[in-house]
Amino acid sequence: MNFLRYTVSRLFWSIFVILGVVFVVFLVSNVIPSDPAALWVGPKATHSAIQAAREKLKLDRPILVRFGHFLKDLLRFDLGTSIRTHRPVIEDIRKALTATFELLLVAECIAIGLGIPLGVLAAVKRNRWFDNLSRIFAVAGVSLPSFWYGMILQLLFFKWLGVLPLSDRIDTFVSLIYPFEEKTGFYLIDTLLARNYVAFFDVIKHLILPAITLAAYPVGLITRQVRSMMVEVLQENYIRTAFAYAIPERKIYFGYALKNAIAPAMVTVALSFAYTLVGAFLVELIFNWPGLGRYAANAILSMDYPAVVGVTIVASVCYVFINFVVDLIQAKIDPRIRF
Amino acid sequence: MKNRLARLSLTIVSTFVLLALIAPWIVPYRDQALGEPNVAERLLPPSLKHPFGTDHMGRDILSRMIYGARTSLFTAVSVVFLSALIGVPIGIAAGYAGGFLDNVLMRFTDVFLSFPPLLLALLIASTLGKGLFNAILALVITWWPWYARLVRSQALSIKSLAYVEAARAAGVSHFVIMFKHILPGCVAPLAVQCTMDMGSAILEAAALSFLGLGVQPPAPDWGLMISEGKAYFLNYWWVPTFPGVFMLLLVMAFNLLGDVFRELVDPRLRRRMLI
Amino acid sequence: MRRFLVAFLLVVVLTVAFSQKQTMVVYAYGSEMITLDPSTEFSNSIIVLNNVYETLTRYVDGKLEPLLATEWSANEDGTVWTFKLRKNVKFHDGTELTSEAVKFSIERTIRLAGGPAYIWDSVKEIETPDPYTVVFKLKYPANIPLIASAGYGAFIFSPKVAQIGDDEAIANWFNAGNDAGTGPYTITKYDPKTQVVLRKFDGYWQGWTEGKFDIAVIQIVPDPSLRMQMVTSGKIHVTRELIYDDLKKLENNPDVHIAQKPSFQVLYLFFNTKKFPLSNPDFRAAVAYAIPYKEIIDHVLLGYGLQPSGIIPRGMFGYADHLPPLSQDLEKARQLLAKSNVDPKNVKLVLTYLQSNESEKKASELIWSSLKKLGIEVELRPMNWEQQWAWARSDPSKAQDMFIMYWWPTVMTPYDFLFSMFHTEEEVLFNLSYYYNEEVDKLMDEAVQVEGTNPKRAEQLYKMVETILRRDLPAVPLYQISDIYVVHKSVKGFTPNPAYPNVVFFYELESGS
Repeated sequence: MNFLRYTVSRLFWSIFVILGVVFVVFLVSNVIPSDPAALWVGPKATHSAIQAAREKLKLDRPILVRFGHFLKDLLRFDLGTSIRTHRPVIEDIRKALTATFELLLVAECIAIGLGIPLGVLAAVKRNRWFDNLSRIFAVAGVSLPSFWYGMILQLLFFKWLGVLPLSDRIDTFVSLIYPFEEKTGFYLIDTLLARNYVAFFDVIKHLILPAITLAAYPVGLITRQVRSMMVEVLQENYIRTAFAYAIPERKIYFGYALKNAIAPAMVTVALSFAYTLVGAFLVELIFNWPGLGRYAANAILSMDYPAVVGVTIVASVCYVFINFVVDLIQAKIDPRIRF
Repeated sequence: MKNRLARLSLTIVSTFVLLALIAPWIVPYRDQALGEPNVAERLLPPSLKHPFGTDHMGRDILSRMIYGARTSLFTAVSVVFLSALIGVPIGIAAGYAGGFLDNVLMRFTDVFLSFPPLLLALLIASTLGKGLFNAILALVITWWPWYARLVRSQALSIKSLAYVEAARAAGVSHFVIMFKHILPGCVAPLAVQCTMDMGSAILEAAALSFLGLGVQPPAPDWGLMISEGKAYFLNYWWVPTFPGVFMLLLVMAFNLLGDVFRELVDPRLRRRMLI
Repeated sequence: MRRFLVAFLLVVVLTVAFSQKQTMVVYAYGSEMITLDPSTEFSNSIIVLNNVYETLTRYVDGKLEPLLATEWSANEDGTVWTFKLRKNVKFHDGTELTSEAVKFSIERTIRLAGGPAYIWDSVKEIETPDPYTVVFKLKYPANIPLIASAGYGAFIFSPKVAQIGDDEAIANWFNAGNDAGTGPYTITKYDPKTQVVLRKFDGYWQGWTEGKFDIAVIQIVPDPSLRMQMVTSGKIHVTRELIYDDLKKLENNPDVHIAQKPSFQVLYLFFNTKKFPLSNPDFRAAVAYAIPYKEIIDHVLLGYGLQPSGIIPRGMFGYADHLPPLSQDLEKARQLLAKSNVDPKNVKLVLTYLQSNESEKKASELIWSSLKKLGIEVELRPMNWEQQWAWARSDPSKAQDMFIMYWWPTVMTPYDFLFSMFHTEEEVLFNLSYYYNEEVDKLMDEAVQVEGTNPKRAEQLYKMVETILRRDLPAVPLYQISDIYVVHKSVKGFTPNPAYPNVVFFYELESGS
């Protein structure tokens, strides 16, 4: 099988999988012993109000009919109306997605900035105390329960040191007094475009803690991965030759060796992106971050099935896409992989 | 040094196992550990009487943490054992038989793998209903494909080894080959995977409890204790902090062990994800 | 473009606001405000709506005060009510308040049949003999002035909204953050997840004086500890629903003032009277006497609440002061248990409660522990509201054994409590004990009809219902919470009005410095 055919079949398969998943989620969230009509109406509802909501939400139709309607709407990128927020799911998700991506990108930058140097140094100083220290550090990163770690950071930096905000994406008083237009949905970019530096620095302050919390896992992952790649590369002949020619060490490590270790490391980075997307679930809850994770958790906990289905589609599309890209990179750089 | 780390991790794990086993005889407040409220001593800071303080119902946090080790270890062992129990035979069968069966089984696991695991576990847990057993079940359903995948790739490479082909040529039954020759070859990577997954299982089960889908109050569980502490932690920092420290220690110990094992077995083993 | 325009307008408004040193008050509240339609809103958003819209009357400390109506009267049997409207009242869109507007508003509320629409059930038709007179003709006697004071579903809005389109289009217009009320404030920014900004309406009929706030912000802050921190530092000025332990600490804080009044919100424990073993009256009584009422109030509410002796909350007309409150008596409970012939070893009771509510959770754990003393095992199941309720409304013989739920009235009458929770229902709604008693039905139905015209008789009837409910024990009240607000010292004039749950009437506040 050649590369192109592999790509196409993977893509086709992914779409098929997502469709299957959507159907299962749709089915599952519709058989749960809850009452979407009651959720729509809110507490203290009357029979007639619930009945009206049931008709409005088409809950009285058979499930397959509803799935048909759902698919038809899906073709128009319409994911239905959330039962909890009474707004179109697609709009809720669009807003939440940029918030999540902003957080994710910052966390990923931290992870790369910290993970690659740590991994390289650990490989260079293999089996010495620095290597072990970085191992403990990396393993701690993947072992931290994010929802607990986030709280500890909040205690430290908000409660005790008082230097960073507890939660949210921006201080609402800052956004009230120094408003800016949401062009891209990425607050860092929006505030800069508006040359609104007060809001910009406030956004940064709000990003720090959740980003550090979210970065813990990918830092650990990248550090370990870069280390093992570097260890392998450093044993290659051309590196030994370079040493023999008395080329400066730093140039050997960060120039020659890292260049060859970086491609597989990038695979890890891409993978860690997918993991953090889901890791953001809990982190967003702790930091009251208005992103996809908080939206998904609330939707699942309140059995808001159109939102659950919508979030599942979006999250698995992202996830499948990242995994797909990873597989392609891997196939390109490592011909040993069997298709 | 590496050995020292491994030894330390092993000590931590065995300490927790011991604590879990003898919990009823060593905890200072047994009834409170199992949920009995003691409202008169609500939210007391750490002291000699309550080394880690008391929670919002006045219960001794240390006692509940020790009992929590039982819940965590039980969850971890059951999730990993059950996932392997389902995944390993399927993986061996797929890898050994190849062809159509392999295709069907692997496409089936693909469905599970193309899904963020925590999201899937959350969905399943909320469908099954709350509770520890349902949480374990939800995790097993999301985890077994990883084992199937791992074992399949091992089986594929072992299958083509000379001694297996020789056995086949000699007319040894498929069943015997699978269990006598292929399974032993999978044990080492499987052990690494299981060790590391113990940590992940604890974290994911705790995440479900944190979201209210796992262990139900007033049972003792680290995830639940952290979750209950969320409303109080800013002014009563000890409530979620100590259970989290226990959890971090145990998960880290498992992961360090796994990390050291992995280097011994196969440094290229792709780390499966957590959360 | 539209969004840009809104943002631009907001900038203008706020720049003007801050350049003229306008004053601002901020109320931090814990939950999102999702919909804003004055006809159908039956949830948190009444916090906004009660500042933006007004009702014909207002309920203050057990009495009705005139608001948009100045006076009202009834015919002899209470089936025709005539209201005189206040003159020179303007809606935010400039239209004048007339009887047509009242008719339009209430008819739309009835037509949409949303959550609170049932309060107008008795209304047959609304007539408008002249622009300042509204006549309600009823199907059966009802206390319309009281109903008209409700915090939900009784808002009067401008008939001009009809120009927007059909009912659905109007609802969308409202939910987008627009309003058409007569109230002192008007909505300028609405973000359901973070904040609602209100600005004073210059043409408000009661006028504006020095010290009242120009801008009122409702800020959504889910974390109670953060709300506490913000109010003590003066970043926000009013908040509620703090952790009780934190509240105790604030009592001695000179920067804030704690305003409290008994609310009309009561937590009840329902017993499933259609399922063994709680179908057994003696067993039910044994459970009722095993519950640590005092401990719950002392340690769950830390004393910020009280125990009503019957179903009707203290402070409301018809209160069961002829009955002693229930109290824990384990000896009596053991005797009743023995008499019931139910072996506690063979039963396991499932108790469901609202998972997001810390107090319900704590109370449930105390019930769990005290029933254990009788040898009865209880399984606690925290759930979200829809699931808990859907289960309770299914087959009673398979539903949960015990159910914990808050009730708060829409209309300030005992009937709101008794009818909803203990009247026979064709299909289960809130009678979650599945309690059917014709005598009780008859007594309360008569009471509500004479309430407006013969309150003495109504009170007597309500007390008779309470006596029967005490005998049968289909449910027990656990506690009545206090309505507690924490107010920063820079704001004066705040008094809680528990008839309007969670509502802060910003117009009553004045800046104190």
